[in-house]
Amino acid sequence: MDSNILHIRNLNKIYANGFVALKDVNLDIKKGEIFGLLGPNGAGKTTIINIVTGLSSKTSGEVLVMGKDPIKDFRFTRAKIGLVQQEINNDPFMKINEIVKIQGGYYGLTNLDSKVDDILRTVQLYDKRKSIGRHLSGGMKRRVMIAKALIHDPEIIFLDEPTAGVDVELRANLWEVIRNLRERGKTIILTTHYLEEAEELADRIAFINHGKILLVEDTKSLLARYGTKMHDIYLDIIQNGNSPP
Amino acid sequence: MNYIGLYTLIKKELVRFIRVPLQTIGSPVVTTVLYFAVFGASIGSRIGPVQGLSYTEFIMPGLIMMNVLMVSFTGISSGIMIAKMLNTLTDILIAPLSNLEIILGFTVASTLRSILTALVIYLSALFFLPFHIAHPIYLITFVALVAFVFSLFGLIVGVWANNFEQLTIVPTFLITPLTFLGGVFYSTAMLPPIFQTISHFNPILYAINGMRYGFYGISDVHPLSAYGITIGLAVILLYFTLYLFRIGYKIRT
Repeated sequence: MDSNILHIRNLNKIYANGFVALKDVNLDIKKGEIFGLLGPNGAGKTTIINIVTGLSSKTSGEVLVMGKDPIKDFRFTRAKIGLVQQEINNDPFMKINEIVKIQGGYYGLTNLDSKVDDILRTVQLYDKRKSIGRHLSGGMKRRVMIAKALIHDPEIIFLDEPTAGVDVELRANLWEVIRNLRERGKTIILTTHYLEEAEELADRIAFINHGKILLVEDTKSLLARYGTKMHDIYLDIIQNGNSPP
Repeated sequence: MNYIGLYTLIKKELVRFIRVPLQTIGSPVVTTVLYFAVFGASIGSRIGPVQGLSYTEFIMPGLIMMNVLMVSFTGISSGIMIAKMLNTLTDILIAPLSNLEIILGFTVASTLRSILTALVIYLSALFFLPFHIAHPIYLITFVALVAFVFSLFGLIVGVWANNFEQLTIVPTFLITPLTFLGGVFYSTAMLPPIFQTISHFNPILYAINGMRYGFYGISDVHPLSAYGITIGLAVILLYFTLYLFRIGYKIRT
């Protein structure tokens, strides 16, 4: 298998209402990297994630997760992927250790009690493990979602705006969790509106707007080439519509 | 087959039901006991026997079936609707569960909830009636089949509906009227011939009479035709639900 854990070629998505969400998207994500996917709301970031995870169907093109098709080989690819969605989606009536355990059960796993405890420690929620979903703060709910996404030990983790509405201290904790995952060889695909977050974490970055990938580049070389902050590069390419040099 | 995934989904759906027993079991039991008390014990004594049974005995299978239909339909349709609204359905859709496993997870749990409700109502009915089950195997398998059919129906409507008001259309305007016209409170033999014929186009007539056959061995329809129609509906609805999941209708974009 090549070093690309996720391979996307000429991916197009046109929704039933005619909205063109993705236009000929090409992306190769390397195993073990943190990849930042940046762009405004409605640019197509979540559509890419949804197609890879099986929540959306593609109109045309090719997607391969570790060499396998996410539709034909859905059991393989879904077991390899963890997803933290943008919107909070925890069951508000269940205890959080139950929520995480049930998610593991969907992946065919048993004897999860100690694993659930370990993951809740990792995301600093162990003390709250018996709390009911709806009684948690926004940041805690987001950490429950991260615990759910990690319970089956996936190889590829999609984090769709994981730090939205999260306070500074917690954001630092989440960055730590993300870096630890990379150290364990996991691949992380991150969308975020906090450009300093992408600058801080991502090994490579893609800019996407109106369903088209505008640029894919190594974060360090991009920053060096522009000689400025990620924020200015983003404004130049996305808002001013300038082509990358 | 992801058996553990399927088992997890069934268990989660059963726990959701058992955690609110007053709503899920208490409410149908109270309503049905009131039916027994008012229609059976008080008015029933003036009606006289129907098909050789006391009126309370006669209406008992239909009243239980009425609850089976409602519990299987509303439990699953509202469950899916809530999962869509809370976005928790995506946790299931991204897991390595096939469409069939997801459908079975929800419908088997719903069927078990209905059987449990039927059992509790029957046990309550034993305060009013002697224990009598003529065909136990027919009865239990038939209840399970009918509950499975209405669970599939509820799943389809839950997937289709955009809001809670749309969810109530089917139980209010279809299931309740067809149940009352399906012979809960009367035998079709009491109707003028034209209405007897029309009644046979009502699928709930078969559900209620199959139930009455299971308890007493009497029925307005042939017990095997009730069984056959229910199996036929189960197969058709299962294939239709699988088709909806395969095209991702309203659940995958």
